[in-house]
Amino acid sequence: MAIYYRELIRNRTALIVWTVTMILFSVFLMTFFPTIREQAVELQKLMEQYPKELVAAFNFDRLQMADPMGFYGTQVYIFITLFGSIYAVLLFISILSREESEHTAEFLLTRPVTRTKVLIAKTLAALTNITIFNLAFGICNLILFDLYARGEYDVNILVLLIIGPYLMHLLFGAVGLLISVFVVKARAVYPISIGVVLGTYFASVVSTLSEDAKDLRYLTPFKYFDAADIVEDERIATLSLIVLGVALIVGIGGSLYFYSKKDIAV
Amino acid sequence: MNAIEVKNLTKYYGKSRGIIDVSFTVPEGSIYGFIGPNGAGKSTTIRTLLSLIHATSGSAEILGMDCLKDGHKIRHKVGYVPAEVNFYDDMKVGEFLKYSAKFYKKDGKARIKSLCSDLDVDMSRRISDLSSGNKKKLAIVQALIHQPPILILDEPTSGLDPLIQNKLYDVLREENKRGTTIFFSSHVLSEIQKMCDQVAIVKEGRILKIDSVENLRGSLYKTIRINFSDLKDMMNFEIQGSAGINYKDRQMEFIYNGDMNSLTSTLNNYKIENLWVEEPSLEDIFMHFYQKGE
Repeated sequence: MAIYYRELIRNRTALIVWTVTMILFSVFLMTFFPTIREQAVELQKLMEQYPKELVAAFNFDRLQMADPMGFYGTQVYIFITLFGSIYAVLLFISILSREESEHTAEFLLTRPVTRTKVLIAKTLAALTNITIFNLAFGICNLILFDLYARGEYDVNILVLLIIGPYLMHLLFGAVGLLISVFVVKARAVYPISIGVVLGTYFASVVSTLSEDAKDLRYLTPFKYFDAADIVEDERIATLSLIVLGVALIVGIGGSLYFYSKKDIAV
Repeated sequence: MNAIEVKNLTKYYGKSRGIIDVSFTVPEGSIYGFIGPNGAGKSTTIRTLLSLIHATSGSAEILGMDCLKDGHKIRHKVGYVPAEVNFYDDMKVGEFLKYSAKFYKKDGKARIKSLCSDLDVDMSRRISDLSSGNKKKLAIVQALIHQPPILILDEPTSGLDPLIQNKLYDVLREENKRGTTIFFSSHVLSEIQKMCDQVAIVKEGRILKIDSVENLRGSLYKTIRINFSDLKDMMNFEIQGSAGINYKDRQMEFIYNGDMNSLTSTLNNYKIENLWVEEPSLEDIFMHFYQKGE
């Protein structure tokens, strides 16, 4: 328990900065919504001038920006999944690599606790952070949409669009946790975190752009939690939930396994 | 029961050597010296005892428990001072000690206070602002909070000024009197000499010799200094069992572990002005071993 609380306190500043920034950004985006709605017809025309594949890559074929859920799905959703995932990977990578790069692992692991307990306490703390982050962001957006577009959308779909990114963050978190065991150097943490998220995002774009790269969609979290899919199906696909479950099991199980065998460098 | 029992412990980091076939036994209640130059494998041995690293082969037990399997139980009974102290920079000293005490389910407030005043540790300072000496002191306090039956100290005095060093020796002696076993690693021989009952000497990953400190300093080894009347005599003088020979003007100095009678009878053939037979410091004996090993 001591480790869990210590971890919450240690990550507090980052949590506040990320949450406040994301919320401010969504408030800022929302102020554009009335203008966009007014210019819906012009926007549609503009979209038609772009290549079909490109329009599809950013879901503008299936979602209408002038529609509240289309607006959320094409605007807010992209940045909360992109930036939120970077935050998630950073958070989970730092679980173990921070202790090692700052050489405090030596202190922590000479306490009378097993490595398994250390890892579980820290993972729970990271989960708490990412949950608070998504909860705060979600509530804010529920309020924003109620203010700007009451009655024009299905609240259930908005809730799904808020849960989607959260699950994606968890998926990235599982990946980060596993990386955490192997990446020790502090200067590698940022490039790897940003690289993983942008890389998989790029893969998701490419998978819609090109028929040949279609199968890439199975490798990127962005396709498992696609906004247009959620709006159209009104649910999160079972396959996505299974993939998430497997990722969590592999991420947590794998990190526990490798961490218990690992030599802690001086 | 033995406090620490290490059997044929070997650790390779990939292909590079950590320690090879290290075996020793630390009896409960003793102060055990572990000495060797930097890179000899002292820290590797200690880090294996604490299961920070995993041995390639061999076994290590503390209080009859396996270091790997029962690591967390063992660590409950061990206080550890690392060679290089790295604690949480964002914490204050008092905050950090409180955090550390929580792991042992002890409040330890009074204990922390008295240790901090003994070793002159300022609880209100931020850890990032501490000098390396002050960090070391903090590490020592942290290791003593839960009154562990075993203390593992990796170069505990490095970076401490002599005054605090002596205070540390006093604290350790007191702990030892209460029955605490102390495993004391160092590359400074005089403190091993001062503190320890037994000593294991490590070199290049292997145990060179295990002996009681008394034996090492005892009858076997003497520092011999001879003033010769004639420089030529000095250059010709030779005797079995001498090592670390030093010449200064007409004085010759060496460590001798041969037979005293053969020394005196050999000396009969030379004209000498003066002769000293002295107790060598462990440092000299240590040097002697090292030169032999090379």
